[in-house]
Amino acid sequence: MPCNKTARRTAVFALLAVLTAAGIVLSLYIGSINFSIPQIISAIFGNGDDTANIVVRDIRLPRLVVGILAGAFLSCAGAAMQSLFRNPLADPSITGVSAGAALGAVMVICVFGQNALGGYALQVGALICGLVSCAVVWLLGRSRSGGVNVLNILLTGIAVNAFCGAAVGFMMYSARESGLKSFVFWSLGSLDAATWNVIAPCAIIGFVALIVLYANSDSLNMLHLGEKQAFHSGVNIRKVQFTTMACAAALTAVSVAACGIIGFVGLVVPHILRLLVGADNKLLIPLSALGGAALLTYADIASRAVSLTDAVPIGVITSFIGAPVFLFILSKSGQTR
Amino acid sequence: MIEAKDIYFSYQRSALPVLRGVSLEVKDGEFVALLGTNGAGKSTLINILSGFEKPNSGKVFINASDIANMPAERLARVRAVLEQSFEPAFDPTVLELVLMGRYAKNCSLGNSDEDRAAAVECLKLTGLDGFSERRYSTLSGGEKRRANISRVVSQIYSDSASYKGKNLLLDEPCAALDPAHSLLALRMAKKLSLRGASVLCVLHDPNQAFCFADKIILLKDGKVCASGNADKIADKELLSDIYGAKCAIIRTPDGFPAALFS
Repeated sequence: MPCNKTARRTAVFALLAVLTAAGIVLSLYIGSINFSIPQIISAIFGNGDDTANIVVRDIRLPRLVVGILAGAFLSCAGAAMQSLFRNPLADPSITGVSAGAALGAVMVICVFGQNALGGYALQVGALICGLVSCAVVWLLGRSRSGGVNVLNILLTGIAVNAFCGAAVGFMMYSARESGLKSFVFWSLGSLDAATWNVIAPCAIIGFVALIVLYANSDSLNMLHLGEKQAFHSGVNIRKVQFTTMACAAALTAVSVAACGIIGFVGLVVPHILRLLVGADNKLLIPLSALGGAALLTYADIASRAVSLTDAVPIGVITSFIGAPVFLFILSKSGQTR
Repeated sequence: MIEAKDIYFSYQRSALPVLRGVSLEVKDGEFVALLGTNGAGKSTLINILSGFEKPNSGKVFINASDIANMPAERLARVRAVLEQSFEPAFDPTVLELVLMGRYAKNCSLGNSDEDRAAAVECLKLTGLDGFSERRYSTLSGGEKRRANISRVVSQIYSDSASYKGKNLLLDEPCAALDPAHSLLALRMAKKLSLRGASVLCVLHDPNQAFCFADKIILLKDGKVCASGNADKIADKELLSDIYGAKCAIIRTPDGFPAALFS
Protein backbone atom coordinates (compact mmCIF):
# COMPACT_ATOMS: atom_id res chain seq x y z
CA MET A 1 0.00 0.00 0.00
CA PRO A 2 2.53 2.71 1.00
CA CYS A 3 4.47 1.99 -2.18
CA ASN A 4 1.31 2.35 -4.20
CA LYS A 5 0.59 5.68 -2.55
CA THR A 6 4.05 7.03 -3.35
CA ALA A 7 3.69 5.97 -6.98
CA ARG A 8 0.38 7.76 -7.19
CA ARG A 9 1.79 10.94 -5.68
CA THR A 10 4.74 10.92 -8.04
CA ALA A 11 2.39 10.40 -10.97
CA VAL A 12 0.20 13.33 -9.94
CA PHE A 13 3.26 15.51 -9.48
CA ALA A 14 4.72 14.53 -12.86
CA LEU A 15 1.41 15.04 -14.63
CA LEU A 16 0.96 18.51 -13.18
CA ALA A 17 4.55 19.48 -13.98
CA VAL A 18 4.18 18.39 -17.61
CA LEU A 19 0.80 20.11 -17.89
CA THR A 20 2.20 23.35 -16.51
CA ALA A 21 5.26 23.25 -18.75
CA ALA A 22 3.14 22.60 -21.83
CA GLY A 23 0.76 25.37 -20.78
CA ILE A 24 3.63 27.81 -20.48
CA VAL A 25 4.86 27.08 -24.00
CA LEU A 26 1.36 27.18 -25.45
CA SER A 27 0.50 30.41 -23.68
CA LEU A 28 3.57 32.17 -25.08
CA TYR A 29 3.00 30.70 -28.53
CA ILE A 30 -0.61 31.49 -29.28
CA GLY A 31 -1.86 34.97 -30.02
CA SER A 32 -2.76 37.27 -32.91
CA ILE A 33 0.85 37.35 -34.12
CA ASN A 34 2.64 34.07 -34.74
CA PHE A 35 6.27 33.69 -33.66
CA SER A 36 8.46 30.62 -33.93
CA ILE A 37 9.74 29.00 -30.73
CA PRO A 38 13.33 30.29 -31.24
CA GLN A 39 11.94 33.80 -31.81
CA ILE A 40 9.97 33.55 -28.57
CA ILE A 41 12.98 32.36 -26.61
CA SER A 42 15.21 35.17 -27.85
CA ALA A 43 12.43 37.69 -27.23
CA ILE A 44 12.13 36.55 -23.61
CA PHE A 45 15.74 37.58 -23.10
CA GLY A 46 15.20 40.80 -25.07
CA ASN A 47 17.21 39.70 -28.09
CA GLY A 48 14.37 39.43 -30.60
CA ASP A 49 13.12 42.04 -33.02
CA ASP A 50 11.10 44.94 -31.58
CA THR A 51 7.66 43.50 -32.22
CA ALA A 52 8.60 40.16 -30.72
CA ASN A 53 10.19 41.84 -27.72
CA ILE A 54 7.11 43.89 -26.99
CA VAL A 55 4.55 41.20 -27.65
CA VAL A 56 6.32 38.35 -25.92
CA ARG A 57 8.27 40.03 -23.15
CA ASP A 58 5.91 42.85 -22.24
CA ILE A 59 2.50 41.39 -23.01
CA ARG A 60 2.41 37.59 -23.14
CA LEU A 61 5.04 36.83 -20.51
CA PRO A 62 3.73 39.10 -17.72
CA ARG A 63 0.25 37.81 -18.43
CA LEU A 64 1.50 34.25 -18.09
CA VAL A 65 3.47 34.98 -14.92
CA VAL A 66 0.55 36.73 -13.22
CA GLY A 67 -1.67 33.78 -14.11
CA ILE A 68 0.82 31.30 -12.69
CA LEU A 69 1.36 33.29 -9.50
CA ALA A 70 -2.32 33.99 -8.90
CA GLY A 71 -3.21 30.36 -9.55
CA ALA A 72 -0.54 29.10 -7.19
CA PHE A 73 -1.32 31.65 -4.49
CA LEU A 74 -5.09 31.20 -4.57
CA SER A 75 -4.88 27.40 -4.55
CA CYS A 76 -2.48 27.37 -1.62
CA ALA A 77 -4.60 29.88 0.27
CA GLY A 78 -7.60 27.65 -0.34
CA ALA A 79 -5.74 24.51 0.77
CA ALA A 80 -4.65 26.24 3.95
CA MET A 81 -8.09 27.62 4.76
CA GLN A 82 -9.78 24.26 4.16
CA SER A 83 -7.29 22.66 6.49
CA LEU A 84 -7.59 25.33 9.13
CA PHE A 85 -11.38 25.21 9.20
CA ARG A 86 -11.49 21.44 8.72
CA ASN A 87 -14.00 22.13 6.00
CA PRO A 88 -13.76 21.59 2.24
CA LEU A 89 -16.04 24.62 1.70
CA ALA A 90 -13.56 27.16 2.98
CA ASP A 91 -12.00 29.20 0.20
CA PRO A 92 -10.48 32.67 -0.07
CA SER A 93 -13.64 34.16 -1.54
CA ILE A 94 -16.02 32.55 0.92
CA THR A 95 -13.98 33.73 3.90
CA GLY A 96 -14.33 37.34 2.77
CA VAL A 97 -10.67 38.03 2.07
CA SER A 98 -10.85 38.44 -1.69
CA ALA A 99 -13.82 40.80 -1.70
CA GLY A 100 -12.16 42.78 1.08
CA ALA A 101 -8.96 43.06 -0.94
CA ALA A 102 -10.91 44.13 -4.03
CA LEU A 103 -12.68 46.78 -1.99
CA GLY A 104 -9.32 48.04 -0.75
CA ALA A 105 -7.95 48.31 -4.28
CA VAL A 106 -11.08 50.01 -5.58
CA MET A 107 -11.10 52.52 -2.72
CA VAL A 108 -7.51 53.43 -3.49
CA ILE A 109 -8.38 53.87 -7.19
CA CYS A 110 -11.34 56.12 -6.34
CA VAL A 111 -9.39 58.26 -3.89
CA PHE A 112 -5.89 58.37 -5.37
CA GLY A 113 -6.34 57.19 -8.95
CA GLN A 114 -5.17 54.06 -10.72
CA ASN A 115 -1.47 54.91 -10.80
CA ALA A 116 -0.83 56.51 -7.40
CA LEU A 117 2.65 55.66 -6.10
CA GLY A 118 3.41 53.92 -9.38
CA GLY A 119 0.46 51.59 -8.93
CA TYR A 120 1.76 50.32 -5.60
CA ALA A 121 -0.86 52.23 -3.60
CA LEU A 122 -3.47 49.95 -5.10
CA GLN A 123 -1.61 46.87 -3.93
CA VAL A 124 -1.07 48.26 -0.47
CA GLY A 125 -4.77 49.04 -0.28
CA ALA A 126 -5.69 45.53 -1.38
CA LEU A 127 -3.30 43.96 1.10
CA ILE A 128 -4.47 46.05 4.06
CA CYS A 129 -8.17 45.64 3.35
CA GLY A 130 -7.73 41.91 2.69
CA LEU A 131 -6.05 41.48 6.06
CA VAL A 132 -8.61 43.69 7.79
CA SER A 133 -11.59 41.83 6.38
CA CYS A 134 -9.93 38.57 7.33
CA ALA A 135 -9.45 39.84 10.87
CA VAL A 136 -13.08 40.99 10.99
CA VAL A 137 -14.29 37.57 9.89
CA TRP A 138 -12.02 35.91 12.42
CA LEU A 139 -13.06 38.11 15.35
CA LEU A 140 -16.79 38.13 14.61
CA GLY A 141 -16.89 34.49 13.71
CA ARG A 142 -15.34 33.16 16.86
CA SER A 143 -17.64 31.75 19.48
CA ARG A 144 -17.95 33.72 22.69
CA SER A 145 -15.93 31.25 24.68
CA GLY A 146 -12.96 31.99 22.41
CA GLY A 147 -12.93 28.79 20.38
CA VAL A 148 -13.21 28.67 16.63
CA ASN A 149 -16.68 27.96 15.36
CA VAL A 150 -16.29 26.97 11.72
CA LEU A 151 -19.91 27.51 10.73
CA ASN A 152 -19.90 30.97 12.32
CA ILE A 153 -16.73 31.92 10.50
CA LEU A 154 -17.99 30.71 7.14
CA LEU A 155 -21.30 32.53 7.58
CA THR A 156 -19.54 35.70 8.72
CA GLY A 157 -17.24 35.38 5.72
CA ILE A 158 -20.18 35.11 3.33
CA ALA A 159 -21.72 38.24 4.86
CA VAL A 160 -18.46 40.22 4.72
CA ASN A 161 -17.96 39.00 1.17
CA ALA A 162 -21.40 40.18 0.09
CA PHE A 163 -20.94 43.52 1.81
CA CYS A 164 -17.54 44.22 0.27
CA GLY A 165 -18.75 43.03 -3.13
CA ALA A 166 -21.69 45.43 -2.94
CA ALA A 167 -19.37 48.27 -1.88
CA VAL A 168 -17.11 47.55 -4.87
CA GLY A 169 -20.13 47.56 -7.18
CA PHE A 170 -21.41 50.82 -5.76
CA MET A 171 -18.06 52.59 -6.10
CA MET A 172 -17.50 51.32 -9.64
CA TYR A 173 -20.90 52.41 -10.86
CA SER A 174 -20.53 55.83 -9.27
CA ALA A 175 -17.10 56.39 -10.80
CA ARG A 176 -18.09 57.57 -14.27
CA GLU A 177 -15.34 56.91 -16.77
CA SER A 178 -14.15 53.38 -16.34
CA GLY A 179 -17.20 52.02 -14.46
CA LEU A 180 -18.41 48.79 -15.97
CA LYS A 181 -15.14 47.51 -17.35
CA SER A 182 -13.29 47.84 -14.05
CA PHE A 183 -16.19 46.36 -12.16
CA VAL A 184 -15.85 43.29 -14.35
CA PHE A 185 -12.11 43.28 -13.67
CA TRP A 186 -12.57 43.33 -9.87
CA SER A 187 -15.42 40.87 -9.74
CA LEU A 188 -14.49 38.34 -12.43
CA GLY A 189 -10.76 38.81 -12.72
CA SER A 190 -8.56 39.52 -15.69
CA LEU A 191 -4.93 39.15 -16.62
CA ASP A 192 -5.08 42.16 -18.97
CA ALA A 193 -3.52 44.58 -16.52
CA ALA A 194 -0.46 42.40 -15.94
CA THR A 195 2.80 44.36 -15.96
CA TRP A 196 6.19 43.70 -14.40
CA ASN A 197 5.57 46.52 -11.91
CA VAL A 198 2.61 44.65 -10.51
CA ILE A 199 4.33 41.30 -10.54
CA ALA A 200 7.42 42.07 -8.48
CA PRO A 201 5.81 43.05 -5.14
CA CYS A 202 3.08 40.41 -5.50
CA ALA A 203 5.64 37.71 -6.11
CA ILE A 204 7.80 38.69 -3.15
CA ILE A 205 4.96 38.91 -0.63
CA GLY A 206 3.36 35.77 -2.02
CA PHE A 207 6.50 33.67 -1.89
CA VAL A 208 7.23 34.68 1.69
CA ALA A 209 3.67 33.70 2.65
CA LEU A 210 3.99 30.39 0.78
CA ILE A 211 7.20 29.51 2.58
CA VAL A 212 5.74 30.34 6.00
CA LEU A 213 2.64 28.33 5.16
CA TYR A 214 4.69 25.35 4.05
CA ALA A 215 6.83 25.54 7.19
CA ASN A 216 3.61 25.31 9.20
CA SER A 217 2.17 22.40 7.31
CA ASP A 218 2.70 19.82 10.06
CA SER A 219 0.92 21.91 12.66
CA LEU A 220 -1.79 22.59 10.11
CA ASN A 221 -2.16 18.84 9.58
CA MET A 222 -2.56 18.42 13.32
CA LEU A 223 -5.51 20.83 13.32
CA HIS A 224 -7.42 18.19 11.34
CA LEU A 225 -7.83 16.52 14.72
CA GLY A 226 -9.82 19.51 15.95
CA GLU A 227 -8.73 22.43 18.06
CA LYS A 228 -8.85 20.74 21.43
CA GLN A 229 -7.16 17.51 20.44
CA ALA A 230 -4.50 19.43 18.52
CA PHE A 231 -3.74 21.38 21.69
CA HIS A 232 -3.55 18.14 23.65
CA SER A 233 -1.11 16.80 21.08
CA GLY A 234 1.23 19.74 21.56
CA VAL A 235 0.17 22.28 18.93
CA ASN A 236 0.26 25.97 19.77
CA ILE A 237 -3.15 26.46 18.20
CA ARG A 238 -3.42 30.25 18.44
CA LYS A 239 -0.08 30.61 16.69
CA VAL A 240 -0.93 28.20 13.86
CA GLN A 241 -4.35 29.75 13.36
CA PHE A 242 -2.96 33.27 13.26
CA THR A 243 -0.07 32.40 10.93
CA THR A 244 -2.30 30.46 8.56
CA MET A 245 -4.98 33.13 8.38
CA ALA A 246 -2.41 35.87 7.84
CA CYS A 247 -0.58 33.95 5.10
CA ALA A 248 -3.75 32.89 3.33
CA ALA A 249 -5.08 36.46 3.48
CA ALA A 250 -1.81 37.86 2.13
CA LEU A 251 -1.72 35.33 -0.71
CA THR A 252 -5.29 36.15 -1.67
CA ALA A 253 -4.83 39.90 -1.36
CA VAL A 254 -1.76 40.06 -3.60
CA SER A 255 -3.40 37.96 -6.27
CA VAL A 256 -6.52 40.12 -6.15
CA ALA A 257 -4.32 43.21 -6.47
CA ALA A 258 -2.72 41.72 -9.57
CA CYS A 259 -5.71 40.32 -11.40
CA GLY A 260 -8.96 40.90 -9.55
CA ILE A 261 -11.13 38.21 -8.02
CA ILE A 262 -10.78 34.88 -9.75
CA GLY A 263 -13.25 32.52 -8.21
CA PHE A 264 -13.28 28.76 -7.80
CA VAL A 265 -9.52 28.14 -8.12
CA GLY A 266 -8.93 28.16 -4.38
CA LEU A 267 -11.86 25.84 -3.79
CA VAL A 268 -11.47 23.37 -6.62
CA VAL A 269 -7.74 22.76 -6.98
CA PRO A 270 -6.93 21.73 -3.39
CA HIS A 271 -10.13 19.70 -3.18
CA ILE A 272 -9.38 17.65 -6.29
CA LEU A 273 -5.76 17.14 -5.25
CA ARG A 274 -6.79 16.08 -1.76
CA LEU A 275 -8.94 13.36 -3.32
CA LEU A 276 -5.92 12.22 -5.33
CA VAL A 277 -3.04 12.39 -2.85
CA GLY A 278 -4.61 12.74 0.60
CA ALA A 279 -4.82 15.61 3.06
CA ASP A 280 -1.16 15.93 4.09
CA ASN A 281 -0.37 19.62 3.65
CA LYS A 282 3.31 18.93 3.09
CA LEU A 283 2.26 17.44 -0.24
CA LEU A 284 -0.95 19.29 -0.78
CA ILE A 285 0.48 22.81 -0.57
CA PRO A 286 3.21 22.36 -3.22
CA LEU A 287 0.91 20.33 -5.45
CA SER A 288 -1.84 22.93 -5.12
CA ALA A 289 0.64 25.60 -6.20
CA LEU A 290 1.44 23.59 -9.30
CA GLY A 291 -2.18 22.68 -9.98
CA GLY A 292 -3.40 26.24 -9.56
CA ALA A 293 -0.68 27.52 -11.88
CA ALA A 294 -1.66 24.96 -14.52
CA LEU A 295 -5.37 25.71 -14.19
CA LEU A 296 -4.99 29.47 -14.63
CA THR A 297 -2.53 29.08 -17.50
CA TYR A 298 -5.01 26.98 -19.45
CA ALA A 299 -7.95 29.13 -18.40
CA ASP A 300 -6.10 32.13 -19.82
CA ILE A 301 -5.35 30.27 -23.06
CA ALA A 302 -9.04 29.40 -23.31
CA SER A 303 -10.13 32.95 -22.55
CA ARG A 304 -7.91 34.25 -25.35
CA ALA A 305 -9.02 31.50 -27.70
CA VAL A 306 -12.64 32.62 -27.36
CA SER A 307 -11.75 36.09 -28.56
CA LEU A 308 -8.25 37.21 -29.47
CA THR A 309 -8.91 40.92 -29.31
CA ASP A 310 -10.97 41.13 -26.16
CA ALA A 311 -10.27 38.24 -23.78
CA VAL A 312 -13.21 36.89 -21.78
CA PRO A 313 -12.72 37.55 -18.02
CA ILE A 314 -10.68 34.66 -16.75
CA GLY A 315 -12.99 34.09 -13.77
CA VAL A 316 -15.74 33.20 -16.23
CA ILE A 317 -13.56 30.46 -17.69
CA THR A 318 -12.38 29.04 -14.36
CA SER A 319 -15.93 28.71 -13.10
CA PHE A 320 -17.27 27.55 -16.45
CA ILE A 321 -14.79 24.69 -16.73
CA GLY A 322 -14.12 24.25 -13.03
CA ALA A 323 -17.68 23.77 -11.84
CA PRO A 324 -18.64 20.82 -14.09
CA VAL A 325 -15.28 19.12 -13.57
CA PHE A 326 -15.67 19.60 -9.85
CA LEU A 327 -19.17 18.15 -9.85
CA PHE A 328 -18.03 15.19 -11.94
CA ILE A 329 -15.21 14.41 -9.52
CA LEU A 330 -17.46 14.85 -6.51
CA SER A 331 -20.01 12.39 -7.86
CA LYS A 332 -17.28 9.89 -8.79
CA SER A 333 -15.57 10.04 -5.42
CA GLY A 334 -18.86 9.65 -3.57
CA GLN A 335 -17.82 12.29 -1.12
CA THR A 336 -20.87 14.49 -1.60
CA ARG A 337 -22.44 15.13 1.74
CA MET B 1 2.12 12.94 38.70
CA ILE B 2 -1.01 15.05 38.43
CA GLU B 3 -2.11 17.34 41.20
CA ALA B 4 -5.05 19.74 41.34
CA LYS B 5 -5.48 22.23 44.16
CA ASP B 6 -8.82 23.82 44.94
CA ILE B 7 -10.10 24.22 41.37
CA TYR B 8 -13.04 26.53 40.75
CA PHE B 9 -14.44 26.85 37.26
CA SER B 10 -17.50 28.15 35.47
CA TYR B 11 -18.12 28.50 31.75
CA GLN B 12 -18.24 32.12 30.62
CA ARG B 13 -21.88 32.46 29.83
CA SER B 14 -23.36 30.66 32.80
CA ALA B 15 -23.02 31.90 36.33
CA LEU B 16 -23.38 28.39 37.69
CA PRO B 17 -19.97 27.03 38.69
CA VAL B 18 -19.19 23.63 37.22
CA LEU B 19 -16.35 22.85 39.59
CA ARG B 20 -16.39 24.08 43.17
CA GLY B 21 -13.14 23.50 44.97
CA VAL B 22 -11.87 20.23 43.51
CA SER B 23 -8.54 18.91 44.75
CA LEU B 24 -7.04 15.60 43.76
CA GLU B 25 -3.77 13.81 43.30
CA VAL B 26 -2.65 11.02 40.98
CA LYS B 27 0.76 9.71 42.04
CA ASP B 28 3.32 8.10 39.75
CA GLY B 29 2.23 4.58 38.99
CA GLU B 30 -1.29 5.14 40.22
CA PHE B 31 -4.51 4.33 38.37
CA VAL B 32 -7.25 6.66 39.57
CA ALA B 33 -10.84 6.35 38.42
CA LEU B 34 -13.14 9.35 38.29
CA LEU B 35 -16.82 8.51 38.75
CA GLY B 36 -19.90 10.68 38.88
CA THR B 37 -23.31 11.27 37.34
CA ASN B 38 -23.80 12.92 33.94
CA GLY B 39 -23.06 16.60 34.33
CA ALA B 40 -21.07 16.21 37.55
CA GLY B 41 -18.13 18.03 35.95
CA LYS B 42 -15.90 15.09 35.01
CA SER B 43 -15.11 16.15 31.45
CA THR B 44 -14.66 19.77 32.53
CA LEU B 45 -12.20 18.59 35.14
CA ILE B 46 -10.28 16.66 32.46
CA ASN B 47 -10.21 19.82 30.31
CA ILE B 48 -8.71 21.77 33.20
CA LEU B 49 -6.19 19.12 34.17
CA SER B 50 -5.11 18.93 30.51
CA GLY B 51 -4.54 22.68 30.39
CA PHE B 52 -7.10 23.33 27.65
CA GLU B 53 -9.33 25.38 29.96
CA LYS B 54 -7.95 27.71 32.60
CA PRO B 55 -9.53 27.46 36.07
CA ASN B 56 -11.06 30.60 37.61
CA SER B 57 -8.99 29.86 40.67
CA GLY B 58 -6.81 27.02 41.85
CA LYS B 59 -3.74 25.43 40.33
CA VAL B 60 -2.87 22.30 38.39
CA PHE B 61 0.56 20.70 38.65
CA ILE B 62 1.94 18.06 36.31
CA ASN B 63 5.13 16.42 37.52
CA ALA B 64 5.20 19.14 40.20
CA SER B 65 5.29 22.07 37.74
CA ASP B 66 2.45 24.55 37.48
CA ILE B 67 0.85 24.13 34.05
CA ALA B 68 -0.62 27.65 33.93
CA ASN B 69 2.23 28.99 31.81
CA MET B 70 3.51 25.78 30.28
CA PRO B 71 3.45 25.86 26.46
CA ALA B 72 1.39 23.21 24.69
CA GLU B 73 4.52 21.58 23.23
CA ARG B 74 6.09 20.93 26.64
CA LEU B 75 2.86 19.76 28.18
CA ALA B 76 2.23 17.31 25.36
CA ARG B 77 5.50 15.50 25.98
CA VAL B 78 4.45 14.45 29.47
CA ARG B 79 0.70 14.08 29.26
CA ALA B 80 -1.75 12.70 26.73
CA VAL B 81 -5.52 13.12 26.67
CA LEU B 82 -8.27 10.94 25.25
CA GLU B 83 -11.34 13.04 24.56
CA GLN B 84 -14.87 11.84 24.92
CA SER B 85 -15.89 12.50 21.35
CA PHE B 86 -13.69 13.03 18.37
CA GLU B 87 -13.95 13.16 14.60
CA PRO B 88 -10.89 13.99 12.46
CA ALA B 89 -11.33 15.99 9.26
CA PHE B 90 -10.44 14.64 5.80
CA ASP B 91 -10.61 10.96 6.76
CA PRO B 92 -7.05 9.79 7.54
CA THR B 93 -6.00 6.15 7.52
CA VAL B 94 -5.65 4.48 10.91
CA LEU B 95 -1.86 4.56 10.67
CA GLU B 96 -1.82 8.24 9.70
CA LEU B 97 -4.08 8.98 12.66
CA VAL B 98 -1.89 7.13 15.13
CA LEU B 99 1.25 8.76 13.72
CA MET B 100 -0.32 12.13 14.55
CA GLY B 101 0.10 11.19 18.19
CA ARG B 102 3.85 11.31 17.59
CA TYR B 103 3.76 15.04 16.78
CA ALA B 104 4.53 15.91 20.40
CA LYS B 105 7.99 14.37 20.24
CA ASN B 106 9.64 16.90 17.88
CA CYS B 107 6.71 19.17 17.05
CA SER B 108 6.69 17.70 13.57
CA LEU B 109 4.97 14.85 11.84
CA GLY B 110 7.62 12.24 11.32
CA ASN B 111 7.35 9.15 9.28
CA SER B 112 10.57 7.56 10.47
CA ASP B 113 10.96 3.84 11.10
CA GLU B 114 10.96 4.60 14.81
CA ASP B 115 7.64 6.49 14.58
CA ARG B 116 6.10 3.72 12.51
CA ALA B 117 7.30 1.04 14.90
CA ALA B 118 5.80 2.96 17.83
CA ALA B 119 2.52 3.43 15.98
CA VAL B 120 2.32 -0.26 15.14
CA GLU B 121 3.01 -1.19 18.78
CA CYS B 122 0.25 1.16 19.93
CA LEU B 123 -2.16 -0.37 17.43
CA LYS B 124 -1.35 -3.82 18.81
CA LEU B 125 -2.20 -2.59 22.30
CA THR B 126 -5.82 -2.03 21.26
CA GLY B 127 -6.02 -5.04 18.98
CA LEU B 128 -6.09 -2.97 15.80
CA ASP B 129 -2.99 -4.43 14.14
CA GLY B 130 -3.93 -5.11 10.55
CA PHE B 131 -6.12 -1.99 10.41
CA SER B 132 -3.25 0.39 9.48
CA GLU B 133 -4.39 1.21 5.96
CA ARG B 134 -8.11 1.33 6.68
CA ARG B 135 -9.81 4.72 6.36
CA TYR B 136 -11.06 6.09 9.66
CA SER B 137 -14.58 6.59 8.28
CA THR B 138 -14.87 2.88 7.48
CA LEU B 139 -14.34 1.84 11.11
CA SER B 140 -17.13 0.92 13.53
CA GLY B 141 -17.73 3.13 16.56
CA GLY B 142 -15.75 0.83 18.83
CA GLU B 143 -12.87 0.53 16.35
CA LYS B 144 -12.73 4.33 16.07
CA ARG B 145 -12.50 4.55 19.84
CA ARG B 146 -9.67 2.02 19.88
CA ALA B 147 -7.81 3.81 17.08
CA ASN B 148 -7.96 6.97 19.15
CA ILE B 149 -6.74 5.21 22.27
CA SER B 150 -3.79 4.01 20.16
CA ARG B 151 -3.14 7.54 18.96
CA VAL B 152 -3.21 8.96 22.48
CA VAL B 153 -0.92 6.26 23.84
CA SER B 154 1.52 6.77 20.96
CA GLN B 155 1.97 10.34 22.24
CA ILE B 156 3.64 9.13 25.43
CA TYR B 157 4.90 5.82 24.06
CA SER B 158 8.35 4.83 25.24
CA ASP B 159 10.21 1.74 24.13
CA SER B 160 12.06 1.52 27.38
CA ALA B 161 9.54 -0.13 29.66
CA SER B 162 9.39 2.86 32.01
CA TYR B 163 6.50 5.31 31.89
CA LYS B 164 7.55 7.25 34.97
CA GLY B 165 6.73 10.94 34.58
CA LYS B 166 4.12 10.26 31.86
CA ASN B 167 0.52 11.20 32.55
CA LEU B 168 -2.58 9.88 30.90
CA LEU B 169 -6.04 11.47 31.09
CA LEU B 170 -8.73 9.21 29.66
CA ASP B 171 -12.30 10.48 29.29
CA GLU B 172 -14.53 7.43 29.07
CA PRO B 173 -12.14 5.12 27.22
CA CYS B 174 -14.73 2.36 27.28
CA ALA B 175 -17.52 4.33 25.61
CA ALA B 176 -18.71 2.37 22.54
CA LEU B 177 -16.53 -0.64 23.43
CA ASP B 178 -17.89 -4.15 23.97
CA PRO B 179 -17.03 -5.84 27.29
CA ALA B 180 -13.97 -7.65 25.93
CA HIS B 181 -12.49 -4.53 24.34
CA SER B 182 -13.33 -2.47 27.43
CA LEU B 183 -11.25 -4.91 29.41
CA LEU B 184 -8.47 -4.74 26.82
CA ALA B 185 -8.39 -0.93 27.04
CA LEU B 186 -8.47 -0.87 30.82
CA ARG B 187 -5.80 -3.58 31.11
CA MET B 188 -3.59 -1.54 28.81
CA ALA B 189 -4.08 1.60 30.92
CA LYS B 190 -3.42 -0.43 34.05
CA LYS B 191 -0.25 -1.82 32.53
CA LEU B 192 1.00 1.70 31.78
CA SER B 193 0.33 2.70 35.38
CA LEU B 194 2.19 -0.36 36.65
CA ARG B 195 5.14 0.83 34.57
CA GLY B 196 5.09 4.21 36.30
CA ALA B 197 2.52 6.34 34.45
CA SER B 198 -0.09 8.38 36.31
CA VAL B 199 -3.48 7.44 34.89
CA LEU B 200 -6.71 9.32 35.53
CA CYS B 201 -9.66 7.64 33.92
CA VAL B 202 -13.28 8.77 33.72
CA LEU B 203 -15.53 5.72 33.95
CA HIS B 204 -19.26 5.17 34.03
CA ASP B 205 -19.28 1.64 35.30
CA PRO B 206 -18.33 1.59 39.00
CA ASN B 207 -17.48 -2.10 38.68
CA GLN B 208 -14.70 -1.38 36.18
CA ALA B 209 -13.33 1.12 38.69
CA PHE B 210 -13.51 -1.48 41.47
CA CYS B 211 -11.50 -3.94 39.38
CA PHE B 212 -8.78 -1.63 38.08
CA ALA B 213 -8.41 1.52 40.16
CA ASP B 214 -5.98 2.05 43.02
CA LYS B 215 -8.12 4.98 44.05
CA ILE B 216 -11.63 6.07 43.12
CA ILE B 217 -12.81 9.67 43.20
CA LEU B 218 -16.53 10.37 43.25
CA LEU B 219 -17.57 13.71 41.83
CA LYS B 220 -20.96 15.23 42.54
CA ASP B 221 -22.15 18.74 41.61
CA GLY B 222 -18.63 19.91 40.99
CA LYS B 223 -17.22 18.67 44.28
CA VAL B 224 -15.31 15.60 45.37
CA CYS B 225 -17.80 13.84 47.64
CA ALA B 226 -15.79 10.70 48.36
CA SER B 227 -12.46 9.21 47.50
CA GLY B 228 -10.68 6.02 48.44
CA ASN B 229 -10.07 2.43 47.41
CA ALA B 230 -12.68 0.05 46.02
CA ASP B 231 -13.69 -1.32 49.40
CA LYS B 232 -14.37 2.16 50.74
CA ILE B 233 -16.34 3.33 47.72
CA ALA B 234 -18.30 0.09 47.27
CA ASP B 235 -20.79 1.26 49.84
CA LYS B 236 -24.43 0.86 48.98
CA GLU B 237 -25.61 4.00 50.83
CA LEU B 238 -22.91 6.15 49.22
CA LEU B 239 -23.55 4.85 45.71
CA SER B 240 -27.36 4.97 46.07
CA ASP B 241 -27.03 8.58 47.14
CA ILE B 242 -24.64 9.57 44.34
CA TYR B 243 -26.45 7.93 41.45
CA GLY B 244 -29.98 8.32 42.82
CA ALA B 245 -30.74 4.64 42.22
CA LYS B 246 -31.03 1.81 44.70
CA CYS B 247 -27.72 -0.03 44.97
CA ALA B 248 -26.71 -3.46 46.25
CA ILE B 249 -23.12 -4.67 46.63
CA ILE B 250 -22.14 -8.26 45.83
CA ARG B 251 -18.76 -9.98 45.50
CA THR B 252 -17.44 -11.37 42.23
CA PRO B 253 -15.79 -14.82 42.24
CA ASP B 254 -12.35 -13.16 42.14
CA GLY B 255 -13.17 -11.13 45.22
CA PHE B 256 -13.88 -7.70 43.75
CA PRO B 257 -16.92 -5.78 44.96
CA ALA B 258 -19.60 -5.19 42.34
CA ALA B 259 -22.48 -2.75 42.44
CA LEU B 260 -25.92 -3.63 41.13
CA PHE B 261 -28.45 -0.88 40.60
CA SER B 262 -32.17 -1.30 40.53
